[in-house]
This record gives sequence, C-alpha cells and structure tokens, in this order.
Amino acid sequence: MTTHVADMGPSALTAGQSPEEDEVMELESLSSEECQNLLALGTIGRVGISVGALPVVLPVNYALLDGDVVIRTGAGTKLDAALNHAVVAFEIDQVDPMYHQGWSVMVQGRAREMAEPHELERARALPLRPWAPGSRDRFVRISAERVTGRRLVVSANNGGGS
Amino acid sequence: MKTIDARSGLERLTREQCVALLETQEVGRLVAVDKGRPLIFPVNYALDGEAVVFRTSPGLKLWASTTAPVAFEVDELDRTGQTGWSVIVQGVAQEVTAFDRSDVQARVYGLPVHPWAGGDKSTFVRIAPRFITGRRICH
Repeated sequence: MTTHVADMGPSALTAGQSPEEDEVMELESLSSEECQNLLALGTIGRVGISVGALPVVLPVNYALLDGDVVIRTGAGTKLDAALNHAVVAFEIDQVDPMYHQGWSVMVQGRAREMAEPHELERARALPLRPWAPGSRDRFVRISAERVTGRRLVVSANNGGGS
Repeated sequence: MKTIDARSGLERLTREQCVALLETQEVGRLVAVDKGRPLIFPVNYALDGEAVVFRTSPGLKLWASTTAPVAFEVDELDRTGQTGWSVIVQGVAQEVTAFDRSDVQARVYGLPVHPWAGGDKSTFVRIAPRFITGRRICH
C-alpha cells in the first residue's frame, strides 16, 4: 500500500516541510559534505519503510552509487517498497552510549529496483556482500533526494529520572 | 528449538528472546512517519516491561511519533564475523503525561533514560508494543 506517498511530486521532499521541522534541529547539523564523507565510509545502515499501517526498520549492508544508496536484497519488504517506488529513509550512525556522543546521517528518497542491464552491472561490481544466507540478487536504489546529518553532543544536564 | 524463516534464511526469535535482547542495549533507532515519509532517529531508551521508553522535546520527532504508528529497532551486528541480530518493536507511541495512571507515571519517570543533548528533553514517550519480532543471522 503506497497511500499518498505515490501522489507526491518530485519536489515533495523539499517542499512543504512541517513547521515542526525546525524545532528538531536542536542538535548540531552536519554539512552536506560531512554527510557525504560519512556515507562514503560506512557499510551498515538501517532502512525505514512505511508499509501499510506499521512502519518497519531493517539493518542492511549498503554501498553508494553516484551518491545514491544501493542495497542488495531478496523478495520481501525492502523489495516491495522499491517496486512501489515508496519514499524510504536510510540512516547510518555512530553512537557512543557511554560518552553520549556520536552522529547520525539520514537519506530520504524514493526507492526503486535496479533493472537496466548496464545499471545492474555497476551494482554487481559494488562491494555489497549480504550477510544472511539465501538468494539476494536484487538491487534496490534509494535516490538521495534529501540528505541530513546531526551531531550528538554531551548535555550538561542529561541525568535521567530527575 | 530454532525456527528458520524459509524466505530469508534467518532464525526467527521468540518474543521472550527479543525482550531479553532489548534489555541488553541502550541505543535504538526510531522510525516515525511524517506525511508518508519515514524518518529515522537514533534514541536512547529504557524498557518499561515490554514497552520502549525514550525522552524527547516538542518537535518533529515527538509530533511524528505520536500521530502515527512507529517502529523501533535495536541490533548488534558484527561486521567481521558477519553475524548479528535485530529486534523490531512496532506499535503506538504516546507521551506519558499527568493524565496517565500514577503507577505508569512513577515507573516511566523513574527509568534510567538518558537523552541526547539539545534542549529540555522532559517529554517521556512510551511505545506500547503491538508486535515484537526479531531475527538472528545464523550460518
């Protein structure tokens, strides 16, 4: 089920943000260059998908292709989202719970299955080794329509239960 | 006894195993949906029974997570050994307020949830789990 996601125009990710959006930027924002550098270094991320009534979030191996996120998968939720051209979120982070610091980079964009022979050839050349056993020979490309990053810093008054 | 998912080849974890694994970590990823667009936030959390509790301040995270069902994921992935597990909690998140039962307030406000910096994160959000599922990569 794609609901109104499918009706969004190409600029829907940048236009019409919620007024609340600014308020969440309380943590230090990363520049787009910092986000790209972090994305280029990582290998593991999480994909967030809204399918039907309940969203899901799945850990994945990934690689970058022309700035877009590519994941390898078999039949299932991730592929279904791609086949529906759903807008998905992809996130990488490094969070140190002990010292309360880290960063997080999020990519939002439409997912699609890679099907053209030339594109598939490039995808197969990516360093993408799925961990789990089973057939995972389909490739999903998440277009990096919106990339945001935040740095998490130590709070002066972060004691819990106060 | 292990249950192996025929499609993915992954071991399916029981609800009890999932909750036990949730108890071992303190950082997870919250997925909330804003106008059909999923958003992912890393959050510190603690458990109130099987419910996930995190702290935040008024903003997009709070608004999106309390107006539509959410997913919350915790994992431990070993890059070199290519092993790991992932647990997903799906349900409805609600702000815990003075209108809640006093025993719920007492439990939730007493949890050791240490939020990230950036403003007054005085809002406690509790995800009432509808589904708790988990998978382990086994070779």
